Amino acid sequence: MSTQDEKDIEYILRVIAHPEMELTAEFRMWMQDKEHRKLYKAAKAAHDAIALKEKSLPDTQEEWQQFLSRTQSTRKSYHIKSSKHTSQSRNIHAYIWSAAASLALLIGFSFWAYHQYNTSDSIALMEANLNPQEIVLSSNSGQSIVIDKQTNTESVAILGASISDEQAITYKNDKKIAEAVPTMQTLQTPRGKDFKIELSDGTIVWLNAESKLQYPSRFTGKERLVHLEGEAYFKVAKDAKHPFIVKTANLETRVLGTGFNLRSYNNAAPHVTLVEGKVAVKSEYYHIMLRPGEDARLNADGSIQVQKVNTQSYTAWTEGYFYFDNASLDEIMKEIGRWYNLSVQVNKPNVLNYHFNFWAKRDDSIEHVIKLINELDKVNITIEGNKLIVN
Amino acid sequence: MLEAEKTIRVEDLFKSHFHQLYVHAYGWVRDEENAKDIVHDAFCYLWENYERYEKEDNHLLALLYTLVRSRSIDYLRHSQSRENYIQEQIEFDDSNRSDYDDYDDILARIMSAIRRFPPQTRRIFTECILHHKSYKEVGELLNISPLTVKTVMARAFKALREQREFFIPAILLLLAGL
Repeated sequence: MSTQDEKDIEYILRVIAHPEMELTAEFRMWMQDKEHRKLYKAAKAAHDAIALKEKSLPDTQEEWQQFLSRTQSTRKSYHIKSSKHTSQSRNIHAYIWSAAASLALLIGFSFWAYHQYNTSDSIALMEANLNPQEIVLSSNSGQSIVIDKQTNTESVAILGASISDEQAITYKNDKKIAEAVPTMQTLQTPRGKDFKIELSDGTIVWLNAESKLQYPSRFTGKERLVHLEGEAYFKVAKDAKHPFIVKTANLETRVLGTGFNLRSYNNAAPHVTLVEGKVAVKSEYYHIMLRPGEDARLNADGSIQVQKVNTQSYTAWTEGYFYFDNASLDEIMKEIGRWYNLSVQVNKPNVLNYHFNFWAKRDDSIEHVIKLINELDKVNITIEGNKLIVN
Repeated sequence: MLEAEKTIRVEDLFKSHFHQLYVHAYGWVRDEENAKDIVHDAFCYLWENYERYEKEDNHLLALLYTLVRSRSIDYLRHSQSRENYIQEQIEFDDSNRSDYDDYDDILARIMSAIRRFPPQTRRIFTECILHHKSYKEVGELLNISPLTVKTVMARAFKALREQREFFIPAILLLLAGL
């Protein structure tokens, strides 16, 4: 028996006794050796074998009944508490249920979409929104203001923000904010307008059209948490001690300091696209790390698909462009309908599967953009009032 | 796929392997309730995604083990410092399932090997592996020297590993005979 063997056995026993050692780089290095992996497996199996003999085990029949009632009951969505004081087991339960609920929603949606595109009748892809289209800033104290050219500095200051230019507000370096009790603020963009916000930590958020960002006027506590509906590009200020977290209906993205685009409109699969730095994306069942240049897409079945992408096509909007890199007409028309606030009617839904490469400036007229698409010679789009008709 | 078929298949796996998966999770989380939750969670995943995996019937157990493992490791990560958590993320990756392809087999063989251990060896093994005692503590408990404990453990592990290598050629020979 070599001393090396004895050392390995002592090491593996320590790992079994202190499983958190498995999270260390040292352990991962150790496991690179094939013999070590065999030893690890044998030790784990030995542990399981002894535990099966010595431990009192749950009643399988009872557990199965529980499992059945769980899978067959109506699913409810619970709010997941981030508080450290809630017990782990509660968290896990809440997680399963909320996951199941959002999964059910997603599946429901994709099912509906599937049916729609297979009919030969014309369909309405987008509906124009007839309400006034304005950028609105509101706080949980109940105040809300419309931000446009006429908005004066004082009215925004009441909410703790200051206007840095016509298309941006900032919460940074404001003495009033630093002293005041933080309030939750919501910035909402309409169709056809985007907006820039600088948060109190210096993080810059470009909020795309028809989106909503909820954030505190000042970050306190261990985490910097914001909520997003729609699409935004985040340039997160580096602060390793305070992870920046963006929550959407079904994804959680954790960041230490990075640039990434997050798209979560309610009529399409959510995407997280990483431009630089490092983020972790968490859905109901998956945890993944993204590397720069990768895009994570949440599929209807709850899985996350990661692929290398041209990040420019996901972030070009922050510079005022539509940029579609091999995108389906479905995506393109939704995006255009959203930006120009137009209804979209599609007479032959199968054309929605066509893929195009396509560039346009967002401040061009709709007539010009449609002309560019028609020049691709695949579809013929006409404009009638506030409706686009795809033939 | 018939819902009934799925229920039968999952019930079968559940009833035959709940305990194995439970002790496997327990090895990491050291808490009965959480270990149970993790196994339930793994079966929930299988239940929701059954269509995707049903064709690989032989690997369903490996999938369950992999799910239990990734959830247990996640649990550990969460209970560790929250700040280090992000750097340590590992992708839940279907391809890792092959790690567990032969686990059920190994477990069965190791169980029978342990059954054949002399009582003293079994006691030492149990104290070290299940109750996480050090060689010194086990020595004191059984009134033997820590060095003896060390030797016994080394021999026990050797026996477990030999058991394995002996078994595989035997199976191959049998197959060749067919």
